[in-house]
Amino acid sequence: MEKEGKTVIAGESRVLEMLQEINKNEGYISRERLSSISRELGIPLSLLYGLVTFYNQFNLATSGRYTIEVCEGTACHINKSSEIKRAIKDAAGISVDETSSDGLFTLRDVRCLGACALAPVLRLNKKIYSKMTYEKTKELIFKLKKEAEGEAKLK
Amino acid sequence: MKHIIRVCTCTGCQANGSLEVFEGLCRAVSGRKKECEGKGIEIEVKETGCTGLSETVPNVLVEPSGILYVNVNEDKAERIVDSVINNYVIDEMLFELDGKKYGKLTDVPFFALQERVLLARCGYTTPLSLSDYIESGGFEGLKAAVSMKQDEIIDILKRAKLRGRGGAGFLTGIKWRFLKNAKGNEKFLICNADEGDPGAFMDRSLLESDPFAVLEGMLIGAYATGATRSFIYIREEYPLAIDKVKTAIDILKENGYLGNNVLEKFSFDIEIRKGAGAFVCGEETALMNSVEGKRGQPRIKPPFPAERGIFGKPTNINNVKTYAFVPLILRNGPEWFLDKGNGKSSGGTLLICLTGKIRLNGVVEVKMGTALRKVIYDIGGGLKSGKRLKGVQTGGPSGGCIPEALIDTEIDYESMQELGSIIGSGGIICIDEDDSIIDLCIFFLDFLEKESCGQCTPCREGIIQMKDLIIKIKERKASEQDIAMLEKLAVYVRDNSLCGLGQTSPNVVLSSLKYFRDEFERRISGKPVFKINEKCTGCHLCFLKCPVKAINGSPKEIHEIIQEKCIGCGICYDVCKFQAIDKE
Ligand SMILES: Cc1cc2nc3c(=O)[nH]c(=O)nc-3n(C[C@H](O)[C@H](O)[C@H](O)COP(=O)(O)O)c2cc1C
Ligand code: SF4
Ligand code: SF4
Ligand code: SF4
Ligand code: FES
Ligand code: FES
Repeated sequence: MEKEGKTVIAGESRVLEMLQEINKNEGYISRERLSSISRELGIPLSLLYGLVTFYNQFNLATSGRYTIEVCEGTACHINKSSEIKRAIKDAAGISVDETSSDGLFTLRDVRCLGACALAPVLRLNKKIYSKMTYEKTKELIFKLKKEAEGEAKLK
Repeated sequence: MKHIIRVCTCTGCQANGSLEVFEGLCRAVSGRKKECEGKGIEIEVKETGCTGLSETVPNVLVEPSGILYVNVNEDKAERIVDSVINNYVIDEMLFELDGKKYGKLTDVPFFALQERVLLARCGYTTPLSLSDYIESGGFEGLKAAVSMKQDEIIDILKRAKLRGRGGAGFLTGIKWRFLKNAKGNEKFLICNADEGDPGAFMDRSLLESDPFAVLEGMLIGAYATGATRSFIYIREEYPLAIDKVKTAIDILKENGYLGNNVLEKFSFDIEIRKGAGAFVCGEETALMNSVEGKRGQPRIKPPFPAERGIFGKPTNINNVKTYAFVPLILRNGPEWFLDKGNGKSSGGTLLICLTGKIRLNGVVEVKMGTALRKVIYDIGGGLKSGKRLKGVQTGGPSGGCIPEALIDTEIDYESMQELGSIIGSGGIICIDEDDSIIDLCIFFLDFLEKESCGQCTPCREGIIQMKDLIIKIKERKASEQDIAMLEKLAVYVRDNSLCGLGQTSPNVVLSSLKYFRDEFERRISGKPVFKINEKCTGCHLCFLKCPVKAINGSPKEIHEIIQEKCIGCGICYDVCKFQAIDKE
């Protein structure tokens, strides 16, 4: 690893960044993807699997069209993030880590988005929705459902 | 005359539409350009960082008048511009508290009672404007530093009693000396921006609002210790902070503040690494493993990072706030910094994130040693909806709960520790009489159970067992022995875990048992549970008879028993004439 005293940061130490990139671009990391990285970099598959299961960020299965991230941080919890989840359960029929049968929504937990002052929050399409309530969450989901139905009709 | 209208565009404000407000203001200004020119008025709309008053975002600050407008939306942009041109104040958009309106930002108690030095630029400068940064004293600290010997800089930090703001509170000067004295031809710095405490966001706020200050602190660190390379590890949940820091690094490179031959004295590089959603990676050695591309599991110490840190090289790691303090100390001197403390082990101010049931959520900065009461009531405006404060949870998952009765405590490292909690990252979460301490304990233990790296048994298994015992208590299935067992287990986990995550995980349990013991004991099995059913006519009798006021409800409405308060005496059960109370 050492070359004229300067540590070369490559290979194994870049693998997390690679996985993050794939997760971002493809929405998840497939088995095939893991195997090919393992072959390319000569890193055992077990080690890669260990990584993607250790870090919460990685998805190992495909997600719905919209991923709803509900904050489960302390500030959001105290301000009833459970109401957001109840609304999503009622409106889209899913709990954490599930995808709705129409393929539209996936629900995920996050550990604080840093918008704690606006708790409880959820994030959807990179946008943070602040001070969410049961009603507001339901409305949001119905709106997205309607949009999707509209698009389907056009096709 | 020149006016500046400033709009915060950091994460919180953006969530509430500040980008739209910004655009609306720009449109309004250009629409009235001619009029302005005729009147000799110049208006510039600028992005700024977080004022900290996140409760009322988006906030807009007009300069030089200093007027603060709150809860602004796009539709109000035209009026703000009009008010600047025609020189009046829009009353209904001012900040209001308890019936009183405040015009100037600096008059609002939330700001007036703070001691803002680390947050001085936040809200007043454009985060990525190097000229704003330099005009407001940027790089003065660095310039002072490079005119000194390494040891002089380290001495100044020691005299200033700068304690690390990442949680453990180690003296920064001592850590820097370790690295400076470490043998090796390549040394690393790390900036810990993992901000794992869910409910604290001051590091995010600083990185988004004043990124150059953090980087300047790292530059001084590099010069003082001889480090040539560094990483800043930012949690992936903060995309905006990552973007801003990335741009800030590029700007510094273009302007000769990073890379080879900085100020013709030293060379230094900063790379960004993104966290991947693991709380334990905030622990310094876990973080190093993560940067190396491994699972974020803490390492056994010794060897300490200053001997063998990242890639086996001598390393120093500090928190975002710690680095950001350094330029200020070099600019203003150690006495100035000491004066911001309360004469105990630490100088400087304290950044606090006020959240939970508080009326004014946000980031505040106060002198070390300010009383909790002042922070919560005078600055934070007390609780929402007039409920009674039950206590505060400080320090995140590593901290503990402090009851309302101890609210006059001065916040500093010593007194928080005495109470069985910690300052930690500076998160203060206010809870009210509706919140159950038992549920809060379960919440944190559940968090820690999921975030434990699983490497050592006391932490991995102990946390689960503590949680199960508390659930047992919650469900009224536990006995006195279970509480004793819980206490014993908590001490065992504290004393036998490898890293800080496990060692501090019992804090929430032990402090809750210390201050809110009755909530646990009330649920010891044997005592019956009473619940009101739908037969309740709302006759209000039970409400009047309950000796501990554990029943809620207005006449003619279905009443409810607050289980946390109920002592199980059964009086309500006996007096109810409608069989509306069930005994379990
Ligand atoms: C479980 C755990 C999580 C931590 N999380 C953070 C964190 O998010 N940010 C941080 O700066 N320090 C965190 N720390 C403390 C670091 O290990 C380390 O002490 C700190 O970064 C040193 O910087 P300082 O001397 O400037 O405080 C954490 C420690 C533990 C045990
Ligand atoms: S105390 Fe917990 S988090 Fe820390 S090393 Fe042990 S198992 Fe991992
Ligand atoms: S006494 Fe019985 S009916 Fe009357 S308010 Fe209480 S529960 Fe309801
Ligand atoms: S059992 Fe006793 S303490 Fe509990 S609600 Fe009824 S009267 Fe109040
Ligand atoms: S706790 Fe939810 S955003 Fe921080
Ligand atoms: S998030 Fe913009 S003022 Fe705090």
